[in-house]
Order: sequence, then C-alpha cells, then structure tokens
Amino acid sequence: MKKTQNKIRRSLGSKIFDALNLLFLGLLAFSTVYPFWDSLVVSFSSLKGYLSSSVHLWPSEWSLEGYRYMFSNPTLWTSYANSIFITLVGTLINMVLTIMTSYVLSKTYLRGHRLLTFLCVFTMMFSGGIIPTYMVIKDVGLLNSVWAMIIPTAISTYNMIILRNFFSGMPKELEESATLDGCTEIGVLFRIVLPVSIPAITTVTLFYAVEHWNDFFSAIMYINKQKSWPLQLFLRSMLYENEAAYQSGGESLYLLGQPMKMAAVMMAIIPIMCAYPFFQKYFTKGVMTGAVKG
Amino acid sequence: MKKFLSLLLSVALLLSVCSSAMAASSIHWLTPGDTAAEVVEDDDRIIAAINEKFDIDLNVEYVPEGSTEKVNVAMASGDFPDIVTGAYGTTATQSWIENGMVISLNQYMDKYPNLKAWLDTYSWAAIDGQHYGLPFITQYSVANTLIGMRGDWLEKLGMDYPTNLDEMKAVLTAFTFNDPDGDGQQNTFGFSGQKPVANFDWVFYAYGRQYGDYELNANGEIIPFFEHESFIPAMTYIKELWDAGVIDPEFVLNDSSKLEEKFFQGKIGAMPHAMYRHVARLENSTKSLFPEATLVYGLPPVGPDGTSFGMNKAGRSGMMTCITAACKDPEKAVAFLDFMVSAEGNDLVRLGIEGIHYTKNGEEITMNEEERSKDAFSPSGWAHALAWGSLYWPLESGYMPATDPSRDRALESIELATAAQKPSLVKQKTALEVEYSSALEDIYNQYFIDMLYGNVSIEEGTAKLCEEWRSQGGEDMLAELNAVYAASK
Amino acid sequence: MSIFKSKSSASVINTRREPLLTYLWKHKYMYMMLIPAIIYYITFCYVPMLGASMAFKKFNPMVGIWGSQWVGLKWFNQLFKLNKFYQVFWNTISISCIRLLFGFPFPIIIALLLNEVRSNRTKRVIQTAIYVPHFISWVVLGGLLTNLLSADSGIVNAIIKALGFKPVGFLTDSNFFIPTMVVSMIWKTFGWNTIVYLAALTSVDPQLYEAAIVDGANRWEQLLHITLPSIASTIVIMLIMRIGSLMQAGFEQIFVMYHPGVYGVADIIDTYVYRIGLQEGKFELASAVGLFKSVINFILIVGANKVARMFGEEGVY
Repeated sequence: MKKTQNKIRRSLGSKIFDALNLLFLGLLAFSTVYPFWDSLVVSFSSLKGYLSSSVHLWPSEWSLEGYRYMFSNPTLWTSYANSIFITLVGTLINMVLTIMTSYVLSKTYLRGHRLLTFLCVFTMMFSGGIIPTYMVIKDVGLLNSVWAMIIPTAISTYNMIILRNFFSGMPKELEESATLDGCTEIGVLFRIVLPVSIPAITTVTLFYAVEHWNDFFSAIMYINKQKSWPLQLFLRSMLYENEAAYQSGGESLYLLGQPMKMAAVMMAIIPIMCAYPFFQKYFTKGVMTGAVKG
Repeated sequence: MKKFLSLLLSVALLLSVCSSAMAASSIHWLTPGDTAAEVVEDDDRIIAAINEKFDIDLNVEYVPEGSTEKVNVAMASGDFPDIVTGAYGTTATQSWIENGMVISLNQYMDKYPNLKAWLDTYSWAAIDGQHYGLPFITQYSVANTLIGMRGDWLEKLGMDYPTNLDEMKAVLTAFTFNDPDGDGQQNTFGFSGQKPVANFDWVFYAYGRQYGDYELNANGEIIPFFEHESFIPAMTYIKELWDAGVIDPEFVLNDSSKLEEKFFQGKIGAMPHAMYRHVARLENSTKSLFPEATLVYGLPPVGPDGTSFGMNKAGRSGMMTCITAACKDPEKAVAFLDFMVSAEGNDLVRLGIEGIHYTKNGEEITMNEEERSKDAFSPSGWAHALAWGSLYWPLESGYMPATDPSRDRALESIELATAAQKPSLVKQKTALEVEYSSALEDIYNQYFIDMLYGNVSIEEGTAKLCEEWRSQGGEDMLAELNAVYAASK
Repeated sequence: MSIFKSKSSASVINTRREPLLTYLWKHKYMYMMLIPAIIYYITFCYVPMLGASMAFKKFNPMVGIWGSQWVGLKWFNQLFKLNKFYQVFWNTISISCIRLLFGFPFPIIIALLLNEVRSNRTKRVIQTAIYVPHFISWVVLGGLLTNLLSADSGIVNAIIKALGFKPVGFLTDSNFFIPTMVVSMIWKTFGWNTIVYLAALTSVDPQLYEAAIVDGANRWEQLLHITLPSIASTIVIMLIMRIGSLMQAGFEQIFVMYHPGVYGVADIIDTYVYRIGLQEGKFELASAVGLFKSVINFILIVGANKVARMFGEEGVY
C-alpha cells in the first residue's frame, strides 16, 4: 500500500495517537503471549523447576524429559501424519465446496438464493444431536476412518456466510465488465472474483485448517482405532487419566507431571502456529489496488 | 435425491454384508478399558491364545479416553458390538436392560461356574431375578483413600500423626501458623481438598455417621446423611477449621493435579488422597523440592466418643459387562467372559503364558520383560491391556507385582483405608437414584459451600437443605430406597 | 431436488415472469455448483435433524428413533420442573449479553487500531501475538489463570497488594467470578476474531483515503467516513451470527473454572444439564435441551436479521 499519509506532515495529535496505540497494542500482545510462553518454559523444565515457582519466565532447571517421553511413543508419528492429512485434504474439500456455494449464493439476482441461504443458516441453529449424527455417519460407512473427520464437516455455514458476504461486497462493475467481455458466470468466478478475494479466502482457509487441526471430539466419537487417531486425540489421551484408572491403579503408574503435559500441548499447537506467517502474507496486501492494476 | 439415498443405502448394505461374511464366531468387545494400557497389536500372543482356546476371533475395541459416553452413543445409535462394557447404575445401562438390548445370562450360569460365582457375589444386582451383565463395583469392599501428611513437618513441630479430632485440629493449626517449612513466612495451609466440596467424610464419620450411602433414623428408615444427628456437630467442626483459616481458601479451584501440586510445593500439609500405588510417587515428587520430605498416613481421627472413625464409603458404582442381543454366538461370548473371571484367565492376562512371558520356580515367578514387551504388557511386572478396566482394577484384585519397590507401603495403605471403609445400606442403584442423584448431590454441594462460607448458618442451612433436597425428588427416592431396604432384610 | 424447486417457485412470484425451466437452464452452471452443498446439507444436517424428534419420545435404540414411542412434552416438563432451571437460564442469558456487549466491539476496535499501525512488520508481530490464546485450550488456560489470579500466591494479587489494596478472590468470590470469566473469554478470543475484520479492511480502496486527505480529512474523519462504512456489512453479519448463538455462554470455560461457591451466578444451562446427567446418557433430555436452545437462537437470529434488513443491510439471508 502506498504510504500517502507520509507525504502530508503528521500533526502532533496524530503522533501522540500512534505512540499510545502502539503502547496499548504492545501491552495486549504481551498479555496474550504470556500463557504460551509460560507453557513453553514449563515444557522445558524439570518437575523441580516447575514446582519451584508459580510464574515461569525462564526454565530454572532445564529438562527434555517431557519431549523425550512423547517422542518415545511410535503412535505420535502416525497421529501427526493423520492430522496433517485431515487438515490438508479436509481444508481443500472445505474450500472447494464453500467457494462454490457462497459464490452462487452471493448472486442476489439468482432466484431462490435467499431461501437457500436461509436453509443453510437454519442448520446453524438446529441440529439433530449426537445420536442421529452418529447414525448417519455409521450408515455412510465412515466409522473408524479418518474421513469421519473430513466429510461430516465439509461445509461450515459460518465460514460460508463470511465468504458470501465478501463476494457480494465486491464492486459490481468488475464483474459486469468481465461479462461484457464474454465471460460466463463461472469464468467470472475464476478470473475476477477469486483473485480479488484472496484475503477473504485466506481467512476462511485459515479458519477451516485450524478447526481441523484442533478437532478431537469427532475423533472420540467416531474413531476407536488408535492407528487413525489425529494428533490432538493422541496427546489428550496422554494428558487425561481416566478417574477410575487413577483411583484404582490401572496401568498409569503416575499422573504425568506438568512439564510433560505442557510438552504435549506445545507439540499440538506449534505446528499450526508455524503455518501463520504463510497465511499472514495475504492479509496485508492491498488487494483492490492489485485488482485495479492487474 | 432418491438416487443419492439409494446409493447411501447400498453402501450401508454392502458394509453390513461384508461384516457378516467374516468368521462366524467373531467376538467384538467394546469397552472403556484402561486408558493407560499398551496398544494391542494384531499379532498379540495373549489374544491369539484366547482365540485358539475358544475358536473365536476376538476384537477388543477400546473407546478413546475411557469415555463411557462414547459407549452409550454407539449403543444408542444401534451400533452393537457382541460384548459391551458400560457404566453400572446409569441411565444408559438401565436403558439397555429395559429395551432388551442386552441378554439375560441366567441360562448360562449352571454351565459356567466362574460366571456363576461372579454373579452370586453381586446377587443383589439382578433385576427380577435376571442377571443382564457382570457388574464390577469399584472399591466394593476395599478402599485406598487416607489423609496424607508431611511427616517432616510433624517431626519439626514435635507432633505425631493425629489420632482424634482435637489432635487433628492442633496439627492443622500448627501446619498453618507455626511455620512448619521454616522459611519465616506464614505461607502454608493445614488442609486442602478437591472441587467441588473437598473430602470431609472423616469428620462426619468421627461424629458418628455409620454408613457409606445413607443413614438410618430412630425408626430404622433410610434418611439422607445430613438429616442424621452427626451432621450438625461435624459441620460445626469443619466450619471452625475454615474460620480458623487452616483450610486452603481456594480448595474449590483444585482439580487432582492442582491439589497434588500444592502438596509438592509445600503449600499444604495434609490432603485426602488415594494412596496405594500413589504413595511412592507422592513422596518422591515432594522430595524434588524438599529432599527431607516424607509422606505419612494413618487411620482417620476418631471422634468425641473415642471410637467412631471412617473415611471411605463402600463403592456403589462401577462397570457392567453385557452380551448384546446382536451377538450371533452368545454361547462363545459367555465362555470367553467366564474365562476372563476365572483364575486361569486372570493368570493369563496378568502374568502371560508360562514359559514365554514368565517362568515359575515353585512359588517364585520370574517375569521375562523382553518377551512381555512384545505383547501388550505394561513394563515392570504390570499386566496385559485386557486385564484392567472392565472386570478388575489392580486395587480390587489386590494385585501388586512382587518386584515393586513400594509394594509393602502400598499394601499397608490399602489395609488402613479399608479399615476405615463404611458399608452401604442399599447395594444396588435404584431407578430413582439413577434419575435424581446427580441433581440432588448438586443441591447438597451448594448448601455445604454456603454453610462453610457462612452465607447461611449451619442450622438454617441444614433445614433448608433437607427441605429442598426432599422436594426435588429426594422424597420419592427415599420411599423407593426404603422399600428396597426393607425387602433386603 | 424437490426442496429447491419449491423455493424457486416461491420467489418466482416476485420476479419477472420467465418460464422456470428456461430460467434454470440459463443459469444451469450456477445451480449445478450447489449440488454438492445440497447433498452435504441434506445428509449431514437435515437427515440427522429429523432425529431431534427424540425430544418428544421415549427413545428405544432397538427400534430406532422413528419406532420409539411418543411421550409428548415429558422431557420438557422434567426440565422446566427443576428448581434451578430458571436460575441457569437467566445466568446463560446474562453472561451471554455481557459477553456480547463487551466482547463483540472489542475485536473491531483492535482491528481498527491495528489498521492504524504504520509499520507492517510491527503489525504482523502484534497480530501473531494476539492470535496465540486461540490455540490454547481452556483446560490449560484454566490452570494458568488459577495460578495467576490466586488470592495468596498469584501475581495479579501481588500487584494489588503492593498498591495497598486488599487481595481479590477473582475466581472464588461470586461477585468477581463473572467479570473474570467475561474478561478472560474476551482476552482469549479477541485476537482470533479480528481476522475477519482485518480481511474486510484490506478491501477498502486506498484511493478513497487519498481523496479524503486531499479534502483535508483527519484520521478520525477518515475512520468515520471511509473505514467504518466499508466494513459495516461485515460487522452486521458477524453481529447477527453472534446474536444467533446467544444461548451458548461458553460451556468449556465455565466447566473448567466454576465450583459450588459460584453456582448461583455461573451455572449455565449447558453446565447444569451436563451435571444432572448427560454424562450418563440421558439422550432424550439432551435433545430437549438442545431443541429449547435452538428455538430461542432461531427466534433471535430471525429477529436480528429482520432488523438488519429494515435498516437496508443485506443481512445473513
């Protein structure tokens, strides 16, 4: 984006605002990073190091015990592979379906668009609950398969509405000129709408990817076979002991110490957080400028 | 759309054909099992031995996180295994029985002696004389919770493990105000517990509470324990501790890890906790910050009468393993369960196959850890993945490998905790108990905290509690319980 | 296909007469693009939705939901008969409204403030930092907050004490519990919620700003007359969808942190119903609760959408 503002001399008020703004946002950012940092530090601490303080800014006694314990379990790698598969394939399917649906529904001239949208929104309020959903998933043969974490969540109405809103906010002139050039409606989607909507598409992709990565509930419900478990469920299964086993002494000789728990937490969130910079690139671009120029 | 639906149907049909085409005596067992057990691989030799013995194809599926909810959902959705293990005495298992989803085992009892012996132990669990599954009540006649204390603190203060309520109060007060950790600061609390209402049962029993579940009034009828004469004095004692500031004021925020953490950090001096296999772990974790720390435990304190004491209640809930109506070969399934509750079966899943997983020299057993690790056995003498969760836990089985370094203390703690265990008046869970008990417990918890915090006086709170408890289903529940109790006498 | 036909014929009345088939044929590619979505919604949303009839039945898994016996409003009666139901209903609504009131505008304000940051690099660092809590579950955050907010050992109370005030029981005192919940909820989610607004802000035409500067508009005026109007439709959509989930007051967070000392203010429908027996499999009751919440959410969203359309916004549908 061209920094036009810089050409004009900035007023004093404007400078003070900038300084205060940065200070405020900086403090907020600090407060939000703190829990992550605390957990990260604990994950690299020994039990003694963890217990010796209630605030953890730096490991007072280093230990890799937690990570060693996690890495020693071969199921970890299978579950990583499953999670990556679910996230990549799931998000791809999500995006194809969501783009198609929201593009069509963004066309206010299309007959029935309002009722169709309403029928989608209706599913956000009303759902059948766990049992009927389980029955459907059983009947279409998805039980115990990683696809149970992909197909039943193929479209999120929430994300679809967000994308539709972006599509319909697009200047009509862009599309009209393309139509005059002989583009079909589908052609407009690929040549005009998609390139111009990159920030919106990135947003929705990010939402989907993170949802897939964090999903453990559908795995608990639909997947018993450990080989098909996603990472989140594997890590949770290491974190939370079943109360009965704890009280009556099942094979869990000990509750995992906090450092080990935090190592598990870190292993679950660091990969997806690393994907950020990739997404972030597309947020800050001045897209309309790009569109006008191109 | 029709086309699509018919496609769905044909897919479903295809799948069901596939599954029924497999070996005729395939036995599919869905169970929460033991979450921490090893994963059972396809080539597991214990499973193979069972398969060979009964000519079955055993397929044990463990639900993630030991979640009985998942078992309930699968069953309710018509996704029936052949054998299913669910939570005993819940709406879910009750509906399995009511709706004929699980079969009666009575016809098999004569032929299978181990099954019969098991069901005879739980004879009260039969409904109209019919046994619909193998109940397994946790802590049925054995317990493991005691008040654990910092032995080094007691020593430093020149005190002994308290034997009565007055001594207990003195110890907890000294833990709070006499600087037991010697850091010159008043930063310790005597006692803590877990959410929602900590564990103050030892006080109620010291003041004369008798039973694990309910109490009897002068006419021999069942009443809730807070209508018993022991309740108000006990509550007064607890409130005195609270007002004196010796109870961790934030105990309502503690989950089990948080509570342990406070103990390890030397913030609290005493806590009720499961001992048994945890004794060594609790002590060693405390030593990581305080090398001189020790963990001591003992019988709970006696009350003003000098004899009453107690800490643990006889278990009334647990698991139930049933054979579903969908099971194609119930005879084989019964034979397998009979084996699982037999001495031979126990040996197989705990020790393994003789000559491979262990060797026997007279009475002495030597484990072959290398061979055991190839199958789903846990390390250092612990058992196979099939062993725990559905029909046994180590505590109830009194199982402790001879090689365990903390074996003696673990067994000692069980002995003490069991001595402090109180029997139940009614062993089975009645229908209305299943219906109301969680809502009623909720009412009790809230009044307990209100009385403790002083939002309401103990007398007034107790009166209101009784009234509300009875009006929200308690009255009906008591009537039913009294009928069952009278019938059992 | 029948569903879809009936609605287009409904809207046909308002539009210019054109034979339906001709119309459909003309836009066949557009309608064809909806087919996967229609299959999806029917299979995974509408077919299971029929199962919600369980709320009016005595469910017997042996005969399925359809074969089960009708029991009318039995489960609803059971629910409404519970003493605490009205209390938890009120708690749900009030917690939700407080959250909406403070939690909804906050990410918008932050997005606007971020938009004013001149250095792209600083902006990115701050953005990344504020997303972080979204990835940490309430179970972990709950433990951390208990440490930070503890009355005797927490750092927050250490500061309060150093300033000469009495320590505050943020999590134990029922007067402070709800504000603590709401603030921590906003704190966990605001960063993530800015994403949508930031994406919307990228679509504002920079030429508009240039023109405004030439006209002598200051930054406040630019914000008021250019930025806000450009993201207004996004704000409205997000608001309507938030209103439509008003009956969700944050189960996971409250479940992790509440205790009997604050049941009076913090117990919400979801936590209460969970405690009174969902974990042991009262599926019909769960269905009834779900349906009850759905109906309220539905009324709210329809109302909100109507209001938005009255003001000339497009609304959610």
